[in-house]
Amino acid sequence: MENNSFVRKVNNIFDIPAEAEGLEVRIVLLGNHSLRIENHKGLRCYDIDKVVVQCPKGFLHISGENMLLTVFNREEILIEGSIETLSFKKEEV
Amino acid sequence: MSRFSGGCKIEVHEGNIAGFFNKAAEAGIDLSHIKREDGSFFAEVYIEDLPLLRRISEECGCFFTVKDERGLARVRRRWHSHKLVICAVVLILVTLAIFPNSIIQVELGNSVDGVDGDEVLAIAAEYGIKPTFFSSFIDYDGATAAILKAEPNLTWVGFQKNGVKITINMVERIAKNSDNDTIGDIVAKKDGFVRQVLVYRGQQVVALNTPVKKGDVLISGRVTILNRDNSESSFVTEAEGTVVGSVWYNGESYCSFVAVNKEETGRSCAYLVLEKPGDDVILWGTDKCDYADFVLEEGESLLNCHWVTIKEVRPVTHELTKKEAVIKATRDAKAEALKKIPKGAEVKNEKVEEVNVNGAIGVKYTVEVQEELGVFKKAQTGDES
Repeated sequence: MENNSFVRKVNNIFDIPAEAEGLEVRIVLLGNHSLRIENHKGLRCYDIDKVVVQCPKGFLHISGENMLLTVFNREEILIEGSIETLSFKKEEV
Repeated sequence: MSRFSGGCKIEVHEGNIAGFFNKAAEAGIDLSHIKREDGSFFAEVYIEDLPLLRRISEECGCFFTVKDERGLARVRRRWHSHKLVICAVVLILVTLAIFPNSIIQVELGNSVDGVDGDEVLAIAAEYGIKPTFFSSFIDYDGATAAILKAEPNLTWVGFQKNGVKITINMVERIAKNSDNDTIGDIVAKKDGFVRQVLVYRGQQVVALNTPVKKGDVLISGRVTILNRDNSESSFVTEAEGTVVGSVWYNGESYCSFVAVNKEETGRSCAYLVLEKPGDDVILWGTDKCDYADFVLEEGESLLNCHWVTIKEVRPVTHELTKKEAVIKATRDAKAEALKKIPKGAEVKNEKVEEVNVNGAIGVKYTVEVQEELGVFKKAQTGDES
């Protein structure tokens, strides 16, 4: 944590965005049909109505319908479908 | 790793599927279109990532199967299944591309005296006109110029391409005969009045609408050219052209007011003649009559025989009116004038004049015709110099 706070201070001095350091997940929601997640830590659960993505500081729970992982690699996940809710949780379940 | 090998769709089932996808992503494998259907997961990956995915699936305790291939992999599979058809299509395309540009045979269409055919073919070959599998360069214009330069006996060279065969056609140069036989003028063959002149070769001498006399030069074979430095130079050639002119033909006839007609006396004799080649034979009757004047009448021919009747006539005089005399004289004068007109001449005008003669009527009939006036006349020896 000390290391992280030091990095954050340095980033604040140089006005570097937090997502660039890779410690924060970056989520881009386009309407309710496309969700782009960057700086993720992996996929925990996937079904057509529920996706759980591990983030640096917890788990991102996405619920919806007919969800499809259009892109999945170590940099980003692109989910397309009808997205209804997003929620951060400390626990996976 | 190249991404051109194509992609495929895989079906993953059993085991830790989320872990499988995570490890694959960690390993740098691009997964796309991950979808869950009927308890199985489907994803699209590149073909070259399959070995690594297989290792990861073993680690995660899951299985995957390749469902569908795309890109080059698909092409490769199709190639194996349609090898013969593809080979045939490629062969046809290559043939269509190569054969129109290939020459298998080059030959001479005709031979010309004094022209070496092998030399012509050799010159043509230098410009790409030779049997070759794929000719990218053929210079027809260059070959034509080179052949004409090398063979002065030729005046034209042409190349005819029929499929893969080229035929070289040649035309012999006909040397212009420059001796005295072909040098001369167009002169008037009779008196006339020039109406139209058309010069094909030579120089016009006579003006339009001027009278000419027989022997006058109409189109001269000596052509004078004005040079750029205002000096004149001349050369002689064979004059050629058409000169149409008016020519007048006359016919005269006189008719007395006293006309003599022949009148039958009623006496006659007849005989039957057998027509034989060369000589006729009298079958019946006689042709010996003591008539002072007579006329013959021949009957219709039947089976090489015909009747001939000899009728005695005597002269009977009677007086004509002036009108009748003029008509008769005019008819005779016209017939005489028309007899003089050359064949094919075009009658343009006719004129009738009465001539007063004591005791008779005279008529002068004049016909104006347009006809060719000129005739070629060879130059005399030394004229062309």
